[in-house]
Amino acid sequence: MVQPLPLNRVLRVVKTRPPASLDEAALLEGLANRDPTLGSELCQRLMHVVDGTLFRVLGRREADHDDLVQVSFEQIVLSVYRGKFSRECTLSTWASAITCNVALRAIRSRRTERKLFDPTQDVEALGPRLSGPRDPEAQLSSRNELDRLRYHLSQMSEKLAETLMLHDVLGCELAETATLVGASVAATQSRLVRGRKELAARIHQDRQALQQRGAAP
Amino acid sequence: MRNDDQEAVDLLRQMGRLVVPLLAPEREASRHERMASSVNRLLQRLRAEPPARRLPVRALGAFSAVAASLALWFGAHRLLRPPQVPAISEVAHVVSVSGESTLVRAGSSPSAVFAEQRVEATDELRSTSGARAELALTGAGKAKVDISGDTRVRLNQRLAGPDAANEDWLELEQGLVTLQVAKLPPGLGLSVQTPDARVTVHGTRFSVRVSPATPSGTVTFVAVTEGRVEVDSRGEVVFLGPGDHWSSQTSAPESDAAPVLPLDRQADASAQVARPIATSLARLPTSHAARVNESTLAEENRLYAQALARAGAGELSPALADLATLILRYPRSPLAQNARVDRFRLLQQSGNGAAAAQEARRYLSEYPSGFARSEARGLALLGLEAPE
Repeated sequence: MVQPLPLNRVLRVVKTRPPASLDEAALLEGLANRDPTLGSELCQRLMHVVDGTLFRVLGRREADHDDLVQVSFEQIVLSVYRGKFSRECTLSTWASAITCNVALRAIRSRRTERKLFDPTQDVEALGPRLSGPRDPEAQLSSRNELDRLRYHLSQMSEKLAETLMLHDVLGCELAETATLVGASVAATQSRLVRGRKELAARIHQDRQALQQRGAAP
Repeated sequence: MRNDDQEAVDLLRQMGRLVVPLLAPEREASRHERMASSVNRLLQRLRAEPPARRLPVRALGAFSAVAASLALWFGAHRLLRPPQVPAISEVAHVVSVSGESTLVRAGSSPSAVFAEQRVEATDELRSTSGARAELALTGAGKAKVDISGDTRVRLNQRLAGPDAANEDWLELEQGLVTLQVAKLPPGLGLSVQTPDARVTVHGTRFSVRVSPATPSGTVTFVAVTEGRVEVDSRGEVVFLGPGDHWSSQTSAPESDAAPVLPLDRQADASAQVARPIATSLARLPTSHAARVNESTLAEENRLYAQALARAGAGELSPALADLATLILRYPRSPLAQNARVDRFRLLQQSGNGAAAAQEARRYLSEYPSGFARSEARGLALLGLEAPE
């Protein structure tokens, strides 16, 4: 289905990526053999996947974005070298799964770090919005909703959050998600159902808290 | 609840449809280049490792049997022959790294330093600003070397002493190194050669710093925490004891009573709080700064020394009060950071974990790149996990 473009979007001409010179099998073979000239090839093939996944999961490019890109690439290379990539999905899907994990870990560690070390950060702002601004309309803006969603995902168990991210955010098929999380299809389906329920419950609780706050004198 | 589930799925899908803004082409290109070289470096590093292979279970069993036999044979062989001197080519290994440091090896292109990396004779380590590396030397002293940011140091060893053991020597071109050396056998030492002096020790804890001097040249600072150190500069030999410090500008040992900052008084406190100590030499003021603050330095020193003495005597509350006074009265003092660190250590020692965690958080907010940041983070996290 084609998504309508927002009215304020501006179209511009974008240079297409040059085609990769190696096929995927040759690239994987080279990585497994630790060929130290494949960095550019790998980045050319996967940069948009890694960058896009990080942006979607984190919601913005923060100061450490490039560090996370680098960590993701290193994890991808190590996983291929150590034989963890079973080639049951494409390298792009594998890369997005690894990047998704890197991003989720980043959300969790940012939450802890900011709570502890950033004196300018209001600790409550990272938890349920009980003391936030009193304009409920502003609270329910799309961006804020997604930020809250990220917060809830970071609070959930890694397995459930990872399954939801792969299936519902990155659009992987159920069987593909099962391969990526290393579980059976049935277990993955169960995680998906439990994850959605838990997430819905968290959002529901959050809203109730907001409404109570809004109704308070 | 069914509707709620659907709403959650819709939100997740909305997240997946976020439009990723494009980067400027030049930024995109520079990022591509950086990431590609990072991947290439990683692949090069992996090439240096033995290949990862998976053996079948049967092969593992046979391998274990062979390995056990070989171990027995080697054990017997070692007992029957004199101990061998380790290969002199490996002079150290990297224990930990934070920030960016580079290893320059003759005949190879510079490479990033990583944990567990072996350092060979004549290798040069260069740390960038804010970086830090901890090395364990393989020489007779089994010294630990802490390399601070903006430092260039070359590592080497030579055979010395009656048993021709490996004696470590470092050439410090610029920056700060802090060493902890176990007591060495007679005839052996550990030397740090700077452009202005050679510092030789026989079992101690000390720091050496080389700073650029105006209008040209360098100045070497030495601070001793434990043991005795011999400084040989322009033919003059000076011995420094615990608490002494020396600069190639003054070329005379300065005692604790002088109105100059102590270089590392934390050693006394460390004995009581039983914690690893980072030296305060990195915060050593330049001679100019020392002159500017001369009027308050004596009082700052007095307060700090008094706090440490009280902590040493087990009077923790007065010691904490002294440190708080020092921080309040002289917030810009080069000793203020040490005082904060001592405060969270003493608070933890006194059993007040919550206050220690709070103090550690305050330290992190004031000194995000401070020398005790790792320790403070650990403490702050502990305080969060187990609130009192």
